[in-house]
Amino acid sequence: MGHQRALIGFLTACVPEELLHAAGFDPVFIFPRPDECGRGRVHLPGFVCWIVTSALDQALGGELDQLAGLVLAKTCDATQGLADLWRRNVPHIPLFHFGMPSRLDGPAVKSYLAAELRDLRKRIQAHTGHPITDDELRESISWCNRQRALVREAYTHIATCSPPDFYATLRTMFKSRRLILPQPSPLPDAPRLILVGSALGDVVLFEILEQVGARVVGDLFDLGERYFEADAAEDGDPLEAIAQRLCTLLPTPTKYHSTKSRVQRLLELVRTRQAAGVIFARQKFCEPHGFDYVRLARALSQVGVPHLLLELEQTSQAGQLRTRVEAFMEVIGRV
Amino acid sequence: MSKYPRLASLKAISQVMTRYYAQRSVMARFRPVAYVTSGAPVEIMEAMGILTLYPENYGALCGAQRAAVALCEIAESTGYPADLCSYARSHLGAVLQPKRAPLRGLPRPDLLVCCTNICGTVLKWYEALADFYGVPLFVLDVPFQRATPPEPHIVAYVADQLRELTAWLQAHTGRRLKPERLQKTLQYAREAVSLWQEILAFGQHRPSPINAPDLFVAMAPVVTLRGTRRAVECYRRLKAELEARVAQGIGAVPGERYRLLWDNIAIWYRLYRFFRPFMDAGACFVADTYTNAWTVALDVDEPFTGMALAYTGVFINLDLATRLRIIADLARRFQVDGVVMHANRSCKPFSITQYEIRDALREELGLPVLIIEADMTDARLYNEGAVQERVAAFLESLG
Amino acid sequence: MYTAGVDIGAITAKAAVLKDGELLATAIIPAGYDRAQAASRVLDQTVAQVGISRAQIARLVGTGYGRVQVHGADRTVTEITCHARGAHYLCPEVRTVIDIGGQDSKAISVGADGRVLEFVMNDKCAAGTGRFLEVMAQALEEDLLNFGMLALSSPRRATISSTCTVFAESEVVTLMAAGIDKAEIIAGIHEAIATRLATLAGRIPVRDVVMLTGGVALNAGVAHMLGEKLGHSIVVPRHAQLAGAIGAALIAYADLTGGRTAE
Repeated sequence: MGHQRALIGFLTACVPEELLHAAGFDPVFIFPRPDECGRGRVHLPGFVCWIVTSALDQALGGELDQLAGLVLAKTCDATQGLADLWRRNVPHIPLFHFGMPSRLDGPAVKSYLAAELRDLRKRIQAHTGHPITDDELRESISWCNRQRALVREAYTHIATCSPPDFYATLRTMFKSRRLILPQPSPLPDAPRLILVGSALGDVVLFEILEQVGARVVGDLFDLGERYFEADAAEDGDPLEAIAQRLCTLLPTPTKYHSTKSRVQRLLELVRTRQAAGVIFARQKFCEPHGFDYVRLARALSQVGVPHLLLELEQTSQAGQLRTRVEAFMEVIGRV
Repeated sequence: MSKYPRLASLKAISQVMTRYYAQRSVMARFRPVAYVTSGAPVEIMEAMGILTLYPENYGALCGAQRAAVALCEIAESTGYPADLCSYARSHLGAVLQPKRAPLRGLPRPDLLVCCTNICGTVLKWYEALADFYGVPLFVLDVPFQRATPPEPHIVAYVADQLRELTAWLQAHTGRRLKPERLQKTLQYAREAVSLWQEILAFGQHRPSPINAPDLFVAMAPVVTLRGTRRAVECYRRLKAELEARVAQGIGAVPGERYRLLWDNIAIWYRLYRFFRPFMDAGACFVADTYTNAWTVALDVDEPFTGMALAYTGVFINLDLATRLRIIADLARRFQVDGVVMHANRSCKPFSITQYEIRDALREELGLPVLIIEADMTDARLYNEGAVQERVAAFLESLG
Repeated sequence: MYTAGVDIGAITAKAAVLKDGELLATAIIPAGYDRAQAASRVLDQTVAQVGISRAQIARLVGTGYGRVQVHGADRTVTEITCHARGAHYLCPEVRTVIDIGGQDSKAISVGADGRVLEFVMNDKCAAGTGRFLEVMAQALEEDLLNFGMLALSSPRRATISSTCTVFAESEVVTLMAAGIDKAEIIAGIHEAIATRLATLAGRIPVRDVVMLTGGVALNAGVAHMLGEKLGHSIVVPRHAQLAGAIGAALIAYADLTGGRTAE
């Protein structure tokens, strides 16, 4: 396709990107901006994370007018509220709600998810005025799989990149669908860290990690490693393939899988990447990550892995974050 | 409080609830215990003779008994961030240190049933309980109802899971769900809900024989004893008492001057005290969005589809436009003069769209709206001075 | 061999000089606006007490909020690590340090060798810091120096429920207007800060010996009530405010002698 593709925005880590791509869009994630969210705050109470507040604020400020739409999957209460507010206050950017199930396994989930994907496909078709064929879907699955493979390959180099560079690469990927690998910047004796949370847009965090000379060797970010870990099948029914992939990924905190455990994955990551410690980068007011932090931290403490909790918000003071991270480096540097 | 007539039925309901907790404690030794969320289809469990307990109701109890703050501190000491739902923090604090909790905590569960129709917090809360108690958890996933009526695939999904839940309960308790028992339970539930709706409707009278805080006390049976004969008895009695009041022209607030609408969950640690300045100024809360949330219409003939529809269509699971229509309709039918909205820190589903609702009520119905920032259970977030000032100013503005 | 540590906090600047790892002298002055200058002055005062010149300091470590402004520091180490090390020097059995500064508070779990095992901090909210007491003392027109003793003089403690300093202040004003005994209100204020600190400390394992450091440690009311809530007796060393500077100087010494280092 040679023509410029329209952009469709999304929040939440379980939108069916392949379907959006097949409809002719490039799906782009709406990262929060550190500017004052005055417009957003008129509509949202203060106890909502800044990712949601900033998205609404940017929309109200006309900064997202190039988007053909916004896709929100059911994940947390804040984004669910955003869907309601968006419909009323940003009518020029149509909202597509994707009822992603909260369960990832169980006998009823697959058929519901397939039906919901068919429903979303119908709604998008109604909006664009042209059909989304199965062949187009398969092409898009293939395209998305290739992108994921590139990101997986990039992740094999994460330990040799500076954290700001690596995560800037990932953000660029989500904003422009292009992957530009960062220059390696190895620091052989750097303390090795795993990051957990939903903080891809918190640029200040990565800068601090670089300043203290740490290297990230893996992450459990909602939009990080786990997001790219599985591909969708390129044969068979394409919507089923997309559904299958969404259910196969390691759950984010808002999803329940009866056997796939975030605790186990984190412990495994720490072990296989020889991490010295874990930093939890939690957005203030984020309920899912707030509860999840306690289970994960407890598991780490039980096996003696040092960890640090950082609570992030729009007005995060770099100095305060830096002190905590530095002190944590001093703790893990002992060993 | 003595200048305001007290409803004898409320005292009876309080006693029923005291007995409820005491009895559960004893019966827990002989029957399987399930913790359930407030929006769960309890009728299935009730019909199977499984003892149900509601951590949310327990959270409200902790709030009302002013025990919640200490329990929240316990949870926060363990690492739970202080900005999480205060029902969850209070209950988890009680789980961690039952000796410091009202009733010394709840009896241990054998099973956990979490229905996601009210919020996302319950999923994490129940996951934490499953970790702590090491007992099986069933997640009943109810998708958001973005259109009314809901899409068929959503109803089918929920109905399928209800069958799955039934099989799961049978497997874990060895008890069977007998169709005639389910019918009976659903009939009781329907009757309790129907009576509850009639009780709420009394607020349309001038003067209203009932005030919102009365309803906050009275709601416990329809939440925790739905499907039992006991709940039906409670509400028949309350309905009769309200009928008598209406016949005699007795209002909950003598000299009723203003009729108000309350939005959001109650401020449990200020259950009546909050409303005192309103009552003194002749203002009665004739309607509210919280107690209206338990008006699920249950179809007895098609139990699983009926329950699926009812539990998907709970108020808090509806899109904003539908909720606004319901609230505006309440405001009109009950002829309210103003609205007080509790901006409840703990409950995003109830609070996150409040500014929109406020604006719509102001613009479309010309109603004055007061927003009170507080929390349903965590008294540390309640600023007495600020609240008093705002309430006084609002009452003055009603003229 | 002389080593030195300078701790630049938000409110005060502190310094300590050691000889061969033994504490010789300390000083504490207001930090003021020019922290670099305060760092220099407080170090000068300390070396003057010892009777040496700055040039004789073999190694200087800077710590605290303004640590990057300690000119001439050979390196900087966070106040968390320094407080643990300093507390350990003052009392080798210490296993928990609760540092209550002017604008932040921390709880640190300390190992047998003075190293930090875990820590938690509150630096976003004035409640639970010296600022809380300052605001309340002003509202009650009382001297901060007497505040703790006044708190302990009352058998009853008023209830102050707000976690927010601003809200709590208005609660205090309301209590005063209602005619509640001043000492009772002050006791309630101390109860509130002790509760905040206990909740913070609860997030790390609290083990004996528990030591308070920082300016607020010298407040007997806080020390007593915090001890009650934690169920542990609390040690408050004479050099409570200087633990950070002492720890920094010790780390400087360890750097030179190849002893345990911070990193």
